[in-house]
Amino acid sequence: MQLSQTIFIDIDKVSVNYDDVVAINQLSLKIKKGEVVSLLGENGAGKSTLINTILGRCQVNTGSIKIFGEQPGSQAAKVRIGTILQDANLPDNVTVKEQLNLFRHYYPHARSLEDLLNIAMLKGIEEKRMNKLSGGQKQRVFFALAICGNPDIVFLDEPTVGLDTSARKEFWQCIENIKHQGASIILTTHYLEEAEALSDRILLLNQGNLIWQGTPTEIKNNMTGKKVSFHTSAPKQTIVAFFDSLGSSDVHTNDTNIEACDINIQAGKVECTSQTPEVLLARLFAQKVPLHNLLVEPSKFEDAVLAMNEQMSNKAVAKENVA
Amino acid sequence: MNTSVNKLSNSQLFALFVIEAKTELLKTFRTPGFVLPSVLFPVMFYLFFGVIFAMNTNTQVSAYLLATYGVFGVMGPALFSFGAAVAVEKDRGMLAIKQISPMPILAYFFAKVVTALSFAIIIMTILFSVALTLGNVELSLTQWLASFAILMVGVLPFCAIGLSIGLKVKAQAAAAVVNLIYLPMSFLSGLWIPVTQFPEFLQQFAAFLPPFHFAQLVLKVQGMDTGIAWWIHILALLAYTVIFTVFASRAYKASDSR
Repeated sequence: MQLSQTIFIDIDKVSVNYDDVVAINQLSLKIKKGEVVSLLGENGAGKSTLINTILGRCQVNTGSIKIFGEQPGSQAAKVRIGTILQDANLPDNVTVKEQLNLFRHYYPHARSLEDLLNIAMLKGIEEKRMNKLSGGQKQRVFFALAICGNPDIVFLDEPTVGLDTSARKEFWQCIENIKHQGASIILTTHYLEEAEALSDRILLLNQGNLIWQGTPTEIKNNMTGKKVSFHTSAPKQTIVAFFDSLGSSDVHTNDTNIEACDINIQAGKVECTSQTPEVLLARLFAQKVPLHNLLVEPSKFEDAVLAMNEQMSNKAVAKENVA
Repeated sequence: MNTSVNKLSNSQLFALFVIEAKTELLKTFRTPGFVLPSVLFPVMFYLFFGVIFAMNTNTQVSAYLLATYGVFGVMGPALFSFGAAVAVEKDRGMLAIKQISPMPILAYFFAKVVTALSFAIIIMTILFSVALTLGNVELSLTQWLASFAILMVGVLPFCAIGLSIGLKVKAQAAAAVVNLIYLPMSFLSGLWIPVTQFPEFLQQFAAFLPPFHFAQLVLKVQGMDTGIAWWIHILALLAYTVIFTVFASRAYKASDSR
């Protein structure tokens, strides 16, 4: 449909510097209406900076950002977005209900208190003061504040950091509750399973660069191999020689050899990824490589992302070395 | 959905200011550790110096100190609730969550001013009762009312000064900085000892301090001021209010972008 193509956020070649450090480097990105987008990356990759820049809290050095066609941080933009900031806090001695009612008054089309309590699963604790809440409950209050103005875009900057598994699952439920109401959601996270479970599109940030983007399925397809690991008493040279004989030009590069790539040899433990584990194992046995604790596992989503992140870093280093 | 009306209507805006102030008052008055010292400090001072120590002198001392401890008392919560409390809200991310919402800045400032005024009313009511009953201060009804009114409005420049400190200074330092300004400025403005008993150069220096002008206005009601025209005091207080409001709104904008 035509409507679903509406662009909510348009980021054009944006760079952000803190003093001499490049936090965001020439990043371009469009976010459409109704999309759930995850920003993945290590600490310092630029996730929070990107969010703060879209919110108008960080100044752009070059390039431009438009949100609903408006300037970031403008009143017109603020009315249509809701945010969970990483470093936000609420006064200890105000109740959940009082806080929600206060923030509802900031928006012209606020959700009803009843709706908020239901969506954010706060029923039964609305009369409690903030300092009496658990970490998970607090985070759901922040979520309720983020969505109380019926926003078109919701920013969630590491919303589940520090929560235990069950609290995290409850939080995901809250996100699911609003996912189908047409708002775009932009989520930064360290937890890859979170990105996998919730998003339509995943963006991988590395040192301020957008190094890869695609759907969770695409990430998995990018890495369909199996993870093979074993312990060995053979000396390292023997193992290196074995992998060399597979045709891989250099064990230390991460090229995508079908039989074995991402090879890691450490203190008698060998790990690699193989598209054809059966062939690899047959060769290992034929060469009589002594091995125990042999394990063949399906590649995890997490490994796929980590591998991509590593590949990109290596490429960046290689580029620098050439230059 | 009709997205063309993405602004608060006037009645919505009014309700927002009311609930912002209400929440701020709830928050403040649920912290007895802040409320009790703020109220008791000036009352205690007045009881000691304005009532007990002044027992053997004339009631003029009680009347003079009622005005100056009134000034001292209402200044405190204005400086502290703006200075120290705002600094904490800024450093702990309680301000940030409001700054990313569409809340108008004015609503935030308004709520703080209402809180400072509430303190002023409570402190003055107690001080005036003590003065009437124990201090034997005799003023006409007009004088009581005029003193009350001036003490309320005079809080505003100190709200602006406190706010500038709160938005500029780190939370751990804010209370110390406020005290560093509050106590010496009170003394040098003649709130504890009349300026007329100061050495000449200190008397002249007092003219640069906002509490001096504030106190002189209240004292004028009782005819105990140093004789400077009332409009000079008002101009001085207005100037302080404007300068520090500009300073504070700049600091507010700076705290919103990093």
